[in-house]
Amino acid sequence: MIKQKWLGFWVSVAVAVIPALLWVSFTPIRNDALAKITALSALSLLSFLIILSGRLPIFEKLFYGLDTLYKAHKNISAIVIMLILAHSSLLTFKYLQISDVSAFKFVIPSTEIPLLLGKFALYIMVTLVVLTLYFKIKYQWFVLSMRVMGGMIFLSGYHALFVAGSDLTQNVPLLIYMVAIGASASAVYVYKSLFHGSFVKTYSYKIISIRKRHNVFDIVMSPVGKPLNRYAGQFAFVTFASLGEGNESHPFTIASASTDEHLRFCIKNLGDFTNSIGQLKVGDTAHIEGPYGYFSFSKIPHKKQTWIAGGIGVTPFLAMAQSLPTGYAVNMYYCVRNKQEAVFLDELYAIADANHRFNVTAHFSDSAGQISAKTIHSRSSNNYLICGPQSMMESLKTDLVALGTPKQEIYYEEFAL
Amino acid sequence: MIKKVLAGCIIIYALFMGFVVIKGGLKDQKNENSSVSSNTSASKPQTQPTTGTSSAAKKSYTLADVSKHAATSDCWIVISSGVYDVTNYVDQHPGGAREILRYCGTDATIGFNTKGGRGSHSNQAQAALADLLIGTIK
Repeated sequence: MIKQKWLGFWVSVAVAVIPALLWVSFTPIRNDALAKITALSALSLLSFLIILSGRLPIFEKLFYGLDTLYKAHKNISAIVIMLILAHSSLLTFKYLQISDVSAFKFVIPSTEIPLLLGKFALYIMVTLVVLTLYFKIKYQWFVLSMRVMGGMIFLSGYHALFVAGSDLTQNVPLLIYMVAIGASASAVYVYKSLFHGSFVKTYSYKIISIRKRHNVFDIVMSPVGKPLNRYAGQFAFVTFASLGEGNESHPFTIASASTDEHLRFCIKNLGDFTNSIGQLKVGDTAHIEGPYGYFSFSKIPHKKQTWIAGGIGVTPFLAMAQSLPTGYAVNMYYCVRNKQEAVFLDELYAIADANHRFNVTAHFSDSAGQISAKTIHSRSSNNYLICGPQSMMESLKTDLVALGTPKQEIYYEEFAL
Repeated sequence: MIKKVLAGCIIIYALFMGFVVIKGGLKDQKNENSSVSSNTSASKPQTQPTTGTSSAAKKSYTLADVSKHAATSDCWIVISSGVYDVTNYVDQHPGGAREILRYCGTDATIGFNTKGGRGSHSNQAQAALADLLIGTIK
């Protein structure tokens, strides 16, 4: 599993390094070599980011889960921005060596269209990355930001090909590589963003029940055609046709057992898109794209496991608890603020009553404080599965490791968009 | 971690750009003021650069020949039917290398005569150009 994760990392490194190697091998080195290389790596990685955003099954496999793929996506975006800033700074520095005025003229908006487009793309991308990384924005704004950022591939591509001083067209192997990755990215972008296409089969479902429990919408749907085949703990992208919302799909964990042909989603009202879930009615259609994810008891070597759910992070465990085959021994901690928030506790107790190897403990942070690693730590060989708020997952992981648990025995859902 | 590094990079970049714009912008303004005063005293600049100062036999080229030299590492330009190899001069151009690089492999007559739309080149500049002449257009 760990090796698998590194595979995605090394492919990303290769995507960044290949254009640099091709450039060095086929273009005479000059004083602006580093500026060129940073730009080519950035463009290559930007293309890779767009291809990754296509949610192609092969890349999910490469990164071992869509959640880790998205985490990598975030980190690569940051690296792309750093490379572009380096590219711009190195060129400015080159002109600075000629004269202050020449650097100034390089930096201010110019009349040269390919250069202007490059600068425009840089400023847009920096703004969007700052917006999405450092500010909490609504999911639909996040999706729109990513869409606009993806569109920058066209401006950057034009810039790279036609800007004065570009020698891309003279280096045939490099040109072939860049055009290939750029064209693949453009194809994915146009198909996904403009035509709302999907590389994964989508399934139609009809809502058969919807109820609100505390601040959670509990929705059950039945398949219109073929049901979605999945294992417990996976999630899917859901589009509700009746909500419009520009046909936006949202990722939600499937809470029903993997053997159940019904799909159940438990969606917490966070005040954004999830607010409009309340407008859904029985009989409405949902389009399901998936399944995605590798967060499941069945993907883990040990059959003795400890599950820790924080708040709405309980959903994958609901599916898992109902699908648990014999031979597994599970201790589950359901962490919520108070009894009122423990919407699924009775349900979990009912499963525990039927399966004596499945134990549930509720933890109320209002009265008992945040759950500590000492509480959940088990001395015998064990695997930990954690799903909940990012801060909780990180602190538990750190503390468990401090208590002597090997890192590779702790699994968590990285889903934080 | 990476968020902190990126924030640092963005701040350093913004400071660097601010520095370049302020320092270069002030100098540029000064230059423009001084060039206005020197233009009034200097003789009217020629529109045709002095050609043929070198005794070496000059070849003649087609525009297609020139267009093959369109890279930073190999940059030829055409000015008023003269062909100039400006590859080694690019970095010394007072107005910035970019102003020349954008014309590599093409006819830069208008760009040269109008200084990219900002006036005209000095006699000194005309002389510097003349040294770079390698031939004429067929």
